Amino acid sequence: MRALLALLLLAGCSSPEVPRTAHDAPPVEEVAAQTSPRVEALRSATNAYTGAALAFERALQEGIVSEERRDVEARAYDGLQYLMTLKDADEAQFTAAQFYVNNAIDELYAVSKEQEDAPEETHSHH
Amino acid sequence: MIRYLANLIALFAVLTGSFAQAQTVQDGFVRPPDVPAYVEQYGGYQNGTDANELGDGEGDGATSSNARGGTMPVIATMLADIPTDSAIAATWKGAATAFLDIPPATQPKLRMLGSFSHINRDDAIRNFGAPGTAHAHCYFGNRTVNAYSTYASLRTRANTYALGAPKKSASSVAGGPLNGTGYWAPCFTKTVSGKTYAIKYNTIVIYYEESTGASSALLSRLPRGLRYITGRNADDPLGASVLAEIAAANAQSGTSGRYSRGVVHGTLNDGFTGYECRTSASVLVLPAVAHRNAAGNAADYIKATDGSDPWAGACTTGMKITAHLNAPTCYDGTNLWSPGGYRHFRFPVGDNAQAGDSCPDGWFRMPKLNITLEFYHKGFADYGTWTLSSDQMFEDKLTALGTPTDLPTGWSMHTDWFGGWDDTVMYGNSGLTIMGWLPFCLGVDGNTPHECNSSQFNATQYLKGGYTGENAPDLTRTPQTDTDGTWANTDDPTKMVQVPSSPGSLTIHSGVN
Repeated sequence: MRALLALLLLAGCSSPEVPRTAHDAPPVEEVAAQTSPRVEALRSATNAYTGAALAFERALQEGIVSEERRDVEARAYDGLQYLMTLKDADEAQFTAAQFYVNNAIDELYAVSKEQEDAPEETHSHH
Repeated sequence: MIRYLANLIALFAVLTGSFAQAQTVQDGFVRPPDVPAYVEQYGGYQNGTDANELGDGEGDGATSSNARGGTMPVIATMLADIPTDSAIAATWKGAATAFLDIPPATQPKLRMLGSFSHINRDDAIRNFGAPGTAHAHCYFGNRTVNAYSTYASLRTRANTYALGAPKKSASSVAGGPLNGTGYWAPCFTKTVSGKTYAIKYNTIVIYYEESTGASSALLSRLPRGLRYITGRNADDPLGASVLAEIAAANAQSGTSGRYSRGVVHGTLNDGFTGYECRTSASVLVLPAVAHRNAAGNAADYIKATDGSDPWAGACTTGMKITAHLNAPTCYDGTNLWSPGGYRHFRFPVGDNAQAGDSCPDGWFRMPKLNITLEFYHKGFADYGTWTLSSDQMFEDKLTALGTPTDLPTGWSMHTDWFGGWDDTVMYGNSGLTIMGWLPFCLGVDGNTPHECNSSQFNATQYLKGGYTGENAPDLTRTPQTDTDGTWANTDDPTKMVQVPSSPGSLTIHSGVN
């Protein structure tokens, strides 16, 4: 199944619709954008999410993590989807969003390995 | 696995397309990508004895006499509907055996129960797109709410969860897949063996209600995609803006003394009406006189700043402390979100020229959401050790405003609401083929209002789901409340939930500091 996912990844990123005529070809800038560092970053994040999501699913099946942590998987997915919408945003916006999404994916990996004994609360009150 | 494949395909559809959504900040808050830009609508109150009229949704710039004509008008920019999968809906609506008509002068209501769903440090209203940067939030309703949640994600997950194998409910509140609504509040926490835990709700009682059946005809519908916050205001903790608006209204010619803040919606007219102590039989235990809030039956905190017990030892083991929150009922009719989450709603203000209270002129009146959060405890030796995760943030805000204050524990209680109900089920007009629960229960369609709960949402339907135990979002939940500490127990860390760590320096809600 992971091989199938990898094929899907490659297909999604490297097989854009082929223009039939020169008249229909996309502008040079658009073609360049498809291979930009921004797209590479999105591809990398998507790969990371895929791995984390699979690990989470396995952890659920093995009882390592509970259904109560579904929000962590949802956050990683929703975050990645939001990052996609910022593909053409300015660098500062994209970088800030990328930071949070990568953290969300890292947390998904983390809860899949170890549900209990999370780091200690640091926010004190009265 | 199929779910992840579907997710990936959806992601690449976006990646390979040209769709782009620039992140937009308004007044220091990131605007969620699924709502239009916030546009201030507040226009004030009428002067003299002129009536403040509710808006009529006609978009002609004139207010009407509020005749609703038997329908709930569409009053805002509506997001695309995401209905419940038809196969799911069929399995979740059964035939009711009875329903309860109520006299017109009594209170129509739609009531449901819920339980704790999850915890995180996200805030999809105030800190969109920045997970981990808020104070700890304890959720109920949709189990997947996070920093990136949108109306579409809430509704879509309600469907995908119910279509899974085994089927699951996306909600810990009655309604199952029909109810994708997310609710959250700051967490009460306590420390056990050096670790910080959040206290789970014993139960949660949620009403959508109106004061009397007779006034139901004035109500407008809750638009799809609406989200807001009620209770203590993180941007205006002492309610100064409300007082300023009232002062400006009273300063108009011939209007002196007409408007007031009132106490119906809490000491600060912000929707937080305080904490009550009740026995297991729901008999009210009054706070000591010195600690009673404006309503007189509750305290605005669970521990005073001098460390004393508001109930002076009378709220003992086995009793419950309940936090009460009303939602504001005056809506600007336009915005699905506002910077900070409070500004597109107002509470009615006292108006001695107009039947007791008024919404701002031209605004709309909405069904009132009423939420009660119940916590079992072991007496003051227990709840005297609790903290509320938002209190520090409110103290920081007060300091920033130049009024540093040592707040009593629990003072900053508030609740966020992010609507995710199946639109047709909740709002469909009862005069049509599909009968909506809200029109039927509150009478907003001009027909007889009712008192509804999840066993009798309308003449032919109630909720069923087939789940059991704590997370059953319907009548199969047994017991309906956790009277024996089965789900929530402040002596047992396994029946609390560990608070996730802070990722470092919190932004503590953007726009606040």
